[in-house]
Order: sequence, then structure tokens, then C-alpha cells
Amino acid sequence: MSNTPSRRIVIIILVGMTSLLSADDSVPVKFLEGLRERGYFDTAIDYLDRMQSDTRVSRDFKKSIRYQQGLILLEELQAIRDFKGREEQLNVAQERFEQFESEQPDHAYVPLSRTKRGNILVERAKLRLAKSNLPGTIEPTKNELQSEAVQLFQSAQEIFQANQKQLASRLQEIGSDVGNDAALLDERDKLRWDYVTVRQNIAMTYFETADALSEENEKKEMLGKAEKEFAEVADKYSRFAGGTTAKLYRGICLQQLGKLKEAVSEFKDLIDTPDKKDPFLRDIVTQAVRHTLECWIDPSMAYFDAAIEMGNQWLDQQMPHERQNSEWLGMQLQLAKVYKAKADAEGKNASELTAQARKNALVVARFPSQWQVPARDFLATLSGADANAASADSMLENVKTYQEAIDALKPIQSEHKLATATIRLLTNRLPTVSDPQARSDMQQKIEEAETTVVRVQPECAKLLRLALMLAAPETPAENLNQLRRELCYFYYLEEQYYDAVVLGEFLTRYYPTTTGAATAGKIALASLVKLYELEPANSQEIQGRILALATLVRNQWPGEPEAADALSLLINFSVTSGNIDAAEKYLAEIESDSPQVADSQLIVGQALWKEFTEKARPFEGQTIPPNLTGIRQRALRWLQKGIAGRKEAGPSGQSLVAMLAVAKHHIDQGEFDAAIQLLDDSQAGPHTLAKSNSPLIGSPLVAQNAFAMAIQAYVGMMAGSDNPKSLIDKTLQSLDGLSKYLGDTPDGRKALVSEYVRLAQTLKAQIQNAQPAKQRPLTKAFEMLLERAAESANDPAILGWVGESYSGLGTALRNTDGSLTSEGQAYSKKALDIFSRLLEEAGKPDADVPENYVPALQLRMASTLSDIGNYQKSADAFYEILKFKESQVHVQIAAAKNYQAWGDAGNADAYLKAMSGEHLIPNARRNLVWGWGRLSQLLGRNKQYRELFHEARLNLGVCRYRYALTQTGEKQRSSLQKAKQDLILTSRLYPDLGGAIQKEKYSQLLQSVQRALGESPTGFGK
Amino acid sequence: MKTIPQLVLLLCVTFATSSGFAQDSILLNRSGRGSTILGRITETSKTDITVSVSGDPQKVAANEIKRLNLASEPGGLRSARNSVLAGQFEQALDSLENIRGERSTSGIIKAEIAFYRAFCRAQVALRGSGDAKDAARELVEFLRENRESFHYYEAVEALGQLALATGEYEAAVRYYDELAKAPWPEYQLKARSLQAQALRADRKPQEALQRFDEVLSSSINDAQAARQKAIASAGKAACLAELGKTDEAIQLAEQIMASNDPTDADLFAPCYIALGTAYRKSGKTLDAALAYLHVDIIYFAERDAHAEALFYLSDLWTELKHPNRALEAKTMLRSRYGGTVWAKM
Repeated sequence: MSNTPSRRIVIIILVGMTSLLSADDSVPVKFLEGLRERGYFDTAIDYLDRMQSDTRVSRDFKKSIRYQQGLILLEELQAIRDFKGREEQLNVAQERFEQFESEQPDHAYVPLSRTKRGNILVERAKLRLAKSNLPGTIEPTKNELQSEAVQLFQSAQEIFQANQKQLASRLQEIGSDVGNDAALLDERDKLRWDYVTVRQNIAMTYFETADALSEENEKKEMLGKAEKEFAEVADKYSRFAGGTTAKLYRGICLQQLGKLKEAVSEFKDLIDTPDKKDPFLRDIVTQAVRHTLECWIDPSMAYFDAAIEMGNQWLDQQMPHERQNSEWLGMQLQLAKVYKAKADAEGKNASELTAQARKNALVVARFPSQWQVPARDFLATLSGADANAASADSMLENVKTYQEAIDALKPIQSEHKLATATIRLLTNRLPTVSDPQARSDMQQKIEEAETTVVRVQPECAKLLRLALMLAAPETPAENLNQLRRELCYFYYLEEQYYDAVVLGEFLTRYYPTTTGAATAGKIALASLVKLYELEPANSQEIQGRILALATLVRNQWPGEPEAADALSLLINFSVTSGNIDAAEKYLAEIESDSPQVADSQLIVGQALWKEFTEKARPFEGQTIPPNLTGIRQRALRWLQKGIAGRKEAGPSGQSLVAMLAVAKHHIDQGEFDAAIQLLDDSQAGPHTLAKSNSPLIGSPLVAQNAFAMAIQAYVGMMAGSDNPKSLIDKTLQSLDGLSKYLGDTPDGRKALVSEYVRLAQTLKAQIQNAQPAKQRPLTKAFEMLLERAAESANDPAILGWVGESYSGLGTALRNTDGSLTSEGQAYSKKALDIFSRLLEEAGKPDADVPENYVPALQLRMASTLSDIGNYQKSADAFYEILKFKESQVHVQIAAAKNYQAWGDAGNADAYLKAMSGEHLIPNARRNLVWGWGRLSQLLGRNKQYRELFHEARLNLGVCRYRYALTQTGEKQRSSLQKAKQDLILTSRLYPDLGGAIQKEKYSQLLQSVQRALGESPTGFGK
Repeated sequence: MKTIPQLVLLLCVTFATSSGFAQDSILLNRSGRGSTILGRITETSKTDITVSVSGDPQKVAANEIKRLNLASEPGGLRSARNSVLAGQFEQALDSLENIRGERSTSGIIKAEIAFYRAFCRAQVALRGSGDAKDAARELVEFLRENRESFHYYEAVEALGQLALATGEYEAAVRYYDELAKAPWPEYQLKARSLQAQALRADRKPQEALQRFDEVLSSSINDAQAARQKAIASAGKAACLAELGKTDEAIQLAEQIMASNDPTDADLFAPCYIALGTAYRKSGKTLDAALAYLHVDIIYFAERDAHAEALFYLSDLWTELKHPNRALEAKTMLRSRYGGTVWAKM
């Protein structure tokens, strides 16, 4: 609802009033505020009646009770829709203000009370005007009502003007200099406030009076008076909200007087206000934009492009919560009208402009506001259906009895049904039509049907409401309930969710046996769910209502589909709030043959599976505790039931995710056949659907997981298969499929390589853990996979992986002395081939190999050369890498290892290089390749590298010891002594020696040194 | 250049800061000089803690401790304690959950973490967000593991509240009996008053009335006792109302309200409950609704009273032909106080 100035005044005065009351009255004041905020106006009135004789409130409070009651009655007026009710409410409010003024003639609120009585007269006048504008009001009555309205406006004006005089005279008495008299200062501020308010009322009353006058001259004269008053208020109080409102209304007056340029100038001043964050100002600006657009489409101006630009610019600044705001909807409707006016005036691009007009008007027609009906009427003019609209209006006017309403309803309902069916049918068919002309025709028919729905829906709702109002007391309850059910449905369609909830809940609670009550309950629940989504600020309260209503529906119709729906909702909310136990209980209540049961089972199963995977994460690689296996069992039970239940209805996004979870479980348990059975199910298997690019695979993530799991399962099956080749084929096909889904993007390639690497790790683990008899066929299978991958892939990342895998296979096959077996050597050589191929490729000008791969490839190449015993080439390769960047610690370590391995292979001098490095840098007094000695020095400086430091330090000792063994005599002894001193010094400087395992290694080395020295092997013991 | 007094001040500050880091600090329930004790806690019991201050053992009564900070306690524990003092129990639980290396902490720190975790879960459950029975089990476990904790009586009181909220009134009375064993008169009075509230909730207004009278006739007259007596008077008014002595109940409740500050929610909420009960018993439906509405609109932070008010409001609104308001009250009752007996009735 828009915050009209009069409504604001009520609120401002109520708030202001509380500050006038005594601090002793804080409880009743706060209590009254609470009652009003909740809309408990009747209770607030009753409460104030009781306060008359209550000893706990002050005398001041008691004196103001009648006045306060009047204000509350006026506030309640906003919620009363019918003329009679509004008139009665105004009577009671007026009575309270009059009572107050006669009982407390000297009270400070008397001027305000008079203003309120003036406002009541204005409200009465507006009621007369509204009645006069009702369709079907005949001419003499119309004139009578308008003339009564004018008289009432004039009476109100007299009150306001008398009040203005009194306030001005009192303000003059006080004067501008009040010194330090706080009470006087306070009174003056309040009087000034009242003075501005009354002047606004005067201006607004002139403005509204103009609306009631039929003579053009009189109308203009009245608008002129209003414009003058608004101009004064706007100038004098420009810094206040009242001044801004006055400026807007001054513009509107000028607009209505036909002074469009001057009007636009006023509106532009408001639109150009720099900081437009304040919600009140945003509302004013939105209205100013609307009025500017109105001015600009006037034939005398016809600034269509400027209007379109301004409207769209302001729409772009719309905040999400403003989308349904009445002022914004009004502006958007005006923008739609601008598009249409341009289309009509210029003829060019008419269909495009009309489409824009329709698009904007449809937004307005969707939300309840004062603009909804005009938007629907406007839409009707766009499709040439204005004749229909006019006839519908006249039909509504002629409905005088219950039966007439029912008779009028039937054809409109049929029209609605036909239009909705058309939309459904054509929308479903549209994706299958490829002919552009046929598609365009279809789209046009859909738009026409949408326009019909927009026009007819509110008429259905109106007639249903009318029928309910006109029903005689003897009308059977069953008939009325049928109308209520239908109205509930139309409220839902019209997005009047609160109204839909009230009706649906009423039928559910009080008439559960009536036909369609269960459907109404379902609609009410659906409306609450919509409200839950639309009003996040009230989500907690709405959730409470959903749970209460769902429980009621469940209890009213146990075993019925609606109860199953309600239970599904309860399950959803229980799962969302983490109460899975409750969800399982609800699940047990749903009938097993209900279509909802499978989806609910899947929801509960997935929630439990999520809980299981989260709780099991810390136990990865360990035995899972029994309480977690219990959760897993529950999850699997529901998932498997849900999957089975969905089988007939076909797969859904949820069932596919569930199948993946169960397949994952099978893979984790080594039940690869079972996983494949599920993944490759011919009808619903996620892998089957992913392979055929089925649209049922909603998310690419589902497809990726389906492929990845199928690959894991195929590879897992290889160990026990007699025909690994067919499994390899399938694995490669799935890898292709995965590659397509991941796409040829950097991220996609990265993900694919991760999948390859994971696969390699799985296979490597399988090879390591397999019985010796199975090792060979598995290795063979893996080799085949690698060969196929190397053949089919050009992607450097995949080739890199193939090389890495060969290298991994090679290093896994070692003799007892640690050297590679002949097969191991062969694999490592294949790895070398691939690495050199890639490096060669990288050197080409149009290389596909990313530059950042090169250092990694060089390193792998150097290490693999060392693995196959080509130590010199390896050392050269490391030198090349380190020449480029010396400080690569991991490369320095690998280079030192190469020298050490070379030493172990019989080249004693290589131990010296392993310890001290090689390739002296001129003038730097150090080698480019560091060796273990410099590595341990540098790594020892930083605690972060303590583990690497101990690795370097220990290997330094190992090299020193092994080198000594290659020497004789004093040279050997001195070298052994040096090794011993080094080790003892390390133990003194770092007593923990890098932890128990490393300490043991140090100790064993020291014992070897001690033995070589002919000493007792006591290690660090002495 | 710094003057001599400035240097002295600087040295004092430096000294105080450095010793503050190394020692436990105990903030007492009093202000001014001597409100903080710095030292090392060497022993705890249900009723006091022993602090070694420069080598001298000093005993501090548990009821005098406002809060303490332990040397080398994890930051999460300190944040949790601050959140508890601010009534932000969920936030406190988050801070406690983020404490790392809890296993390697010392005995008293471990006990502190265990207490605050159990206490916060209890408070969260009382707010309707957790399982009250699980929370009670955790508190019992805490007491079993920490028999000599100086939080003993706080834990017992929380157990009583949980029992009361879940409708286990006899258990609540037993816990409050235990609370009454505390050596401090104000705890004893409070325990009797709480017992009386449990008995009233158990629909035993006559027995509840006797307990409230016991509190009112106590010879202790310090400020805390006076407060307990005022709360007991409000409870007494509710009992009188339930026993049908409605005029007497209304007179007593109004008398309490007339002579106290209306911002005192602890006191005013039970007074309005008493008024609501009395009007309800006398068939004055609108007056009863207005009384309960005061709790709903103004004193809603008093959780027990608010749940009771919402429960009766949902019936009264139906009688007053406002089914939507009845539904609102019931929905709020279930959503905010789902774990209480009022929501399950």
C-alpha cells in the first residue's frame, strides 16, 4: 500500500504523541504501540476504555484517551475496504474526537484533534467521489455525490484554515526569541510542526477538491490555489519531507493545468536530487518519473526516446524489494504506455515496441497494487481485446444476485481454463518446432493466451467473491465451500497468497469433509511456501505456520495424496532444519504406494548420506565407527527404496544423485559389479544417460560424476576380470565422455587431468595390493590403458600424465637391491620418450604445450634419467634446470639424490658431489648445484623446512660414510670421524632429531660409523 | 622527556601487564579496589576456589566470582565466556567449537570448556533450539567428571530449568533441593522460589504457595533477598489465582506492580501471568487476554512466562472470536518454544 501523505501524518502524530506523555505511562504507551503494530485495533480501543478507570496510568494519559481512540480508529480505516464500513468507522472516530474536544477544551492536542476532524471530512468527501465513479452510477446521483464531496472538502478546508489562524496567532505570541525557556521552546517546535501539517492539509484539500469539480474553469481555479499553496510549502520547508512532497504535488498541479514544461521542471528538480538512498525520497522520485513520462508522451511534447531512456534508467536502479512497490509499478506501467505511444505515433518497429510495452505491463499486472487493473486493461488494448474487457465490466455491473454471479462465472472460468490449457500445450510443444514462422505463430498464440489469463483471472476472483457476498443464508454450505475452494485457487494464481492461505486453512480446519477441501489445504500450503520464499524476513513465522498447517492436513486426511504432500513438506522442512529423525518418522507415515514417497525417501536418504560423508571424513582410510555405519545403513536403505520407487516414474535429478551416492558406496566397498549395474542401468542409469546426452541430466556435475564413477568401477573390475581389454575400451570411452562434459577450457582440462591422475593412483594401488598372480595382468591392463591414452590424446596435460604413470610403473618394479627391474627400466624409458616428445613439442613456435609445463617436464625427465641409471645425463639435465633458477629446493634435492645414487652405483666421486655439489659459480664461492651440505645449511635456518633439513643432514652423513668405505687408511678414518662428529653435533643441536623415525635412522647410521671405526655401536647412547 | 611520576606509572603498568599474562585473574562481583585477584588457582570446590597470590593461598567463594580468565587458556574460551555474559549462547558455542588442541589443555581449562559447552547447550535448548534432554545429559556428565567444580550450583540450577522446561517437575524440584544446599542464603532463597515455581507448573498451587510463603517469611533482608521475596510475591499471586482466590491475587499483583519499576521484567512478567490467570479463572476473557498480551508484547524476553502467555492467548483469542490471532499465538509458541511443555500441551 502506498504511504499517502495523510497516512504518514497519522503515523507521525501517533509517534509524536508518545513523547508528550509522562514517563510513568511507558507501559501503556508501549503496549498500545505493540497492539497497533499487530493490527489489534479493536483490542487497543477496548484497552483504552479500561484505562479510564485504571489507577496505574497518569491523569494526562487518561485525558488523552478519547483522542488516542480516534487516531486508532483512523489507522484501522486503512484496512476497511467497503464504503459502509468506512463510513461507520469515520462516524465513530469523529465522535471520539468531538468527545475529546468537549471534555478537554484546553488540552494541547485540541488543534490536532480539529485537524483530524478535518481529515475525516476529507475522507468522507473521497468516499463520495469514489462512489460517484463506480460503474453504473447514474448521472443525477453522480452529480449529487460530487457536489456533496465538494461541500465536505469546503467544510474540511474551513476547519484547517481556522486551525492555521489559531496556530499562527499562538506562534506570533511566542515570538522567535524564547530564550532558555525549555517548555516554551518545546511548545513552539510542536506548534511549528502542526502549522506545516495544517498547511499541507489545506493545499491537499484544494487539490482533491479540484478532482470533484466538473466545471473546467472551477477545476482550474482550484488547481491554481493548490499549486500556490504547495509552492509556498515547498519553498519554505524544502529541507523537510513535507517540502519534498509539496514540490511533487506542485508539479502535478502544473501538469493538470496543462503547464507541462513547468511541471517537468519541478519533477526534474526532484529526479536530479543527488543522493537517492532514502526510501521516502525514492518513492517521491519514482512518482516524479511517472509524471514526467506522462508529460512527455503528451502530443505537444512527444519526447518518446527521452521518456524511454529516463524510465529504463530509473528502473535499472530499482532495488529487489522495490519490485512490488506500488509507486514503482505505476512508473513501469507508464513506461509501457510510452512504448505504445511511440509505436502508435511513429509506426516504425511497432512490433518490437509493443513487445516492450507488453513486457513492462505484464510485470505490473502480476502484482497486487492499484495499478494491477489498469495494467490488465492496458494489456487488453495491446491485443485488441478491449472489447472483451468492456463487455466483462458491463457484465460485472449487471450481477445483482447469487445466481447471476454463478451464471456469469461459468463462461469466464471456461475461458480461463482454455487459455491456461493453450499456454501449457503450446509451451510444451514449442521446443519441438523448428520452423521459424511456426514458432513465431505459436509464441504469438501463447502471448494472446497469457493476456487472456491476465484479464480473466481477476474477473473470476471478483465473481467468486461477489457470489459469496450475495449468497443467501439458506445457500447450502457445500456450494459455498466449493466457491471458497475455487476462490482460494484464484487467489493463489493472482499471487494473493495470504488470502489463499486464509481460505484454504478455513476449509481444512472447519470443513475437512467437503469436496475439494483437501485441495484447498494443499493450495494454502503451496501459498505459504511461496510466502516463505518471498518474505525471508518473516521466514521463521511462516515456517511455523507451514508446519502447523501441514500437520493439520496430515491429520485431516490421513492416507490421502494431500496428506502425503503435507508430509513431504514436513520432511523437507525437517531435513532443512537438520532434524532427520523427525523426517524419518514422517516418512514412515506416507503410504508406500504414494508417488511422493520415493522423492521423500530420496531427500531423507541424501540428508543422511551427507551426514554420513561429513562425519566419516576424519576416518578416511580407517575403520569407520559403528555409529556412522548405522547412519550409512539408514541412508542406503532410503536411497535404495527411493531409487526403486522412482523406477516407474522415470529418473529425476534427485534420483540420479541418489544413484551416484549408492554407486559410490559400492565402489568404496569394492562392489564394482553392483556399482556398474546401477550406473549402466539401461533406463535410468546416470552413466547411460550421460553417455546419451540425455536432458534428464540436469547438472553437468551429475554427468561428470557419472563418468568418473563408471571409470573407477571399470578399473576396479579389471583386477578380477578375464577380459580386461573390454573394460579398458569402456574406460577410454568414458574418459572421452568425461572430457566432452568438462569442456576444452583450462578448468576442464585441469579437471580431466585430475581424473586421469586419480585413475592412475587407483590402478597403482591395485597393482601394489594385488596377489602376485594378478599383478602382471593388472599392470598389462594399465599399460594398455596408457598406450591408448598416449595414442589418442594430444593434450599435453594428458600426455604428461601418461608419462608420469609410466614413470610410476617403472619405479614400482624394483629388484631387491633397489635397482629397477628390466620391465621397470622399459616403463621408465617409455616415460622418457613421452617427456622428450613433449619438451620437443614445447620448443616449437606454435607449441600446444603451455610454457609453465616445461620446468616440470625437465624435472621429470632428469629424475627418470637417474631412475634408469643414466646419471651423467641426469646431472646435466639438473644443471640446465638450476641454471635457469638456482633456488629451486626440490630440484636441488633431486640433483643431490642423483649424485648419491650414482655413488651407490660405484662412482665414489659422485658421493663428493652429492655432499658438496658441482659447477662452481665464478666469484660466488659456491656451487650452482648445492649438494646435501649446503642444502642442510640453508634448510636449517627455517623451522618450516625442518623435515627437509633432517633429510639433507642424514643423507650428508650417509654419503660421508659410504664415501669413507670406498677409501682406505687414514683417509677413511678421517672421513668416518667427520661423519661421526657431524651426527653427534646434529643430535646436540637438534635433540629430537626430527622425530622417532628419523632419530632411529640417524642412530643406525651412527652405529654403522662406530662399527667401521672399530668402536662399540652404541649410537647416541653415550 | 618522561618525568619521574610518568616513568613510575609506566613501570607499574608494564609490571601489571606482564604479571597479568602469566597468572589467572578472578573478577569478583564487586567494584572498586580488590575487585580483581591475580594469582594461580590451585584448588576448586563446589563452594570456592583457592588462589595462590604471591605464594599465599586465598579462598574466594564461588558466588562472589563474576568471571575468571585463566593463564594460557585458549582465546576461544575467553570469547565464549564473554558471549555467555552477553547472553549470546550460540556464539559462545561457536567459539568453543573452534578451540583447537583441547586435549592437551590442563585440568581446570578443560573443565571450564566442558562447563561452558554444557551450560550453553542447556541455554540454547531452553530457547527452543536444541534438545533439552541431550543438554541435560551433558550437564550431568560435566558434574560427574567435575564433582568439585565451582560451577556446581550453576550447573544444578540449569538442570532444574531444563527439567522444568521439559515438564519433569519432580526432577526440577529435586535439582532445586540440591541448589538449596548451597551455603549462601540468597541461593537458598532462590532455590525455594524456583521450587515453588516448579510446583506451580506441576499444578500443585497449594504446595507452591507454601514454598513461596517460606521465602516471604525468611528473616534475611538484604537487597538480594528482597528481590527474591518480590519475585516470590508475584508467584504467590499466581498461586492464589489458581486456587480461585482471584480478587486477592489481582490485588497482590497490582500492589507489586504499583511499587516497582516496570522495566523489571523478571518481576512484571509473573505479575501479568498472575493477573491473566486470575481474570481467566473469573471468566473475564478480554481482561485475561490483555494481561497475557502484556507479556507477549512487552515482557517477551521472559521465556517461561512468554510461553505460558502464548499458550493461554491461543485459547482466549478463540473465545474472543479471533481465530487468526489464536493461530498466530500458537504458531509463535511452537516455533519459539517448541521444546517446552506449553508447546506440547
